[in-house]
Amino acid sequence: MQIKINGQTKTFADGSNLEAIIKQSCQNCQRVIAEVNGAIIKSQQWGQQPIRQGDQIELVSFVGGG
Amino acid sequence: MAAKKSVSKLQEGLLRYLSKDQLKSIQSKKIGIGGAGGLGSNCAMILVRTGFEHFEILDQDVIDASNLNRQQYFPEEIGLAKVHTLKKRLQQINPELDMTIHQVQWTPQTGERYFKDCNFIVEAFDQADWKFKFVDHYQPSGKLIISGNGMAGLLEKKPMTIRKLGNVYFVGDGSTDSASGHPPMAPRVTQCAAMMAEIILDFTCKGLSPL
Repeated sequence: MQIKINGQTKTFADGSNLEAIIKQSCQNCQRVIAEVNGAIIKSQQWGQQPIRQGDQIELVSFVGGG
Repeated sequence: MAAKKSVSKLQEGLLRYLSKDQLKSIQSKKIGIGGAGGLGSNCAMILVRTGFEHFEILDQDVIDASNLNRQQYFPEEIGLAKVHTLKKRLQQINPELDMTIHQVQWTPQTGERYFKDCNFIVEAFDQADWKFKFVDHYQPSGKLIISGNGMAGLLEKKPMTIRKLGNVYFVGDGSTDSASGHPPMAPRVTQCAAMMAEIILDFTCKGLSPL
């Protein structure tokens, strides 16, 4: 299936959940805020969050500085 | 009284640019800020000059020489608590400020104690792990969260943008990490703090509800 991550179209195996997709997409999954189709999904729910063809995912990883 | 005169001078100046209703709206909002360093002290300074009067700010640190390059502190204040020093500095601009300060280490376990009645919550920490924990903790509140994410950089820089995920606004380039050798310098840290403050002003003056 094809989904959009941070505006870029990428291909993942059908049936992948959000957790699997994030693990393949982020270097440091321990500090990521994830949004699916406009709704933020807490990390505790990533494994139960189904992802379907055409979904739009936004991911933000944190970096230091302030 | 000097205090009254000072606040009237700030209001007098602001009312040359704003309508009474706009200033009233600004003065009705409360802002919570986690961190009184480069982002927090600059963002608070900008918001106070803009007319905001209600704040809750927390930070456990004392002022260090390494803070002077970008934070709203002076050399003779090294060793003093940031939150107490910042409160005094901001009261010089507006003596009537309603400002609650906490010199504490924020943790997810204690997070519920803070920012309960704030309209906006600003994430202004410097370490990535704490930034994440802070945003992750307050995001479910539904309040508008503004987080500074990627404003370091000297030789390598990237343009700063605003990204919105749900009720969280991320300001910065999202990549230049101070932990990876990108130094936090005044121009970009201040720029990021100003962009964060502008989001709060936009929501306030355009009549949008952050709650």
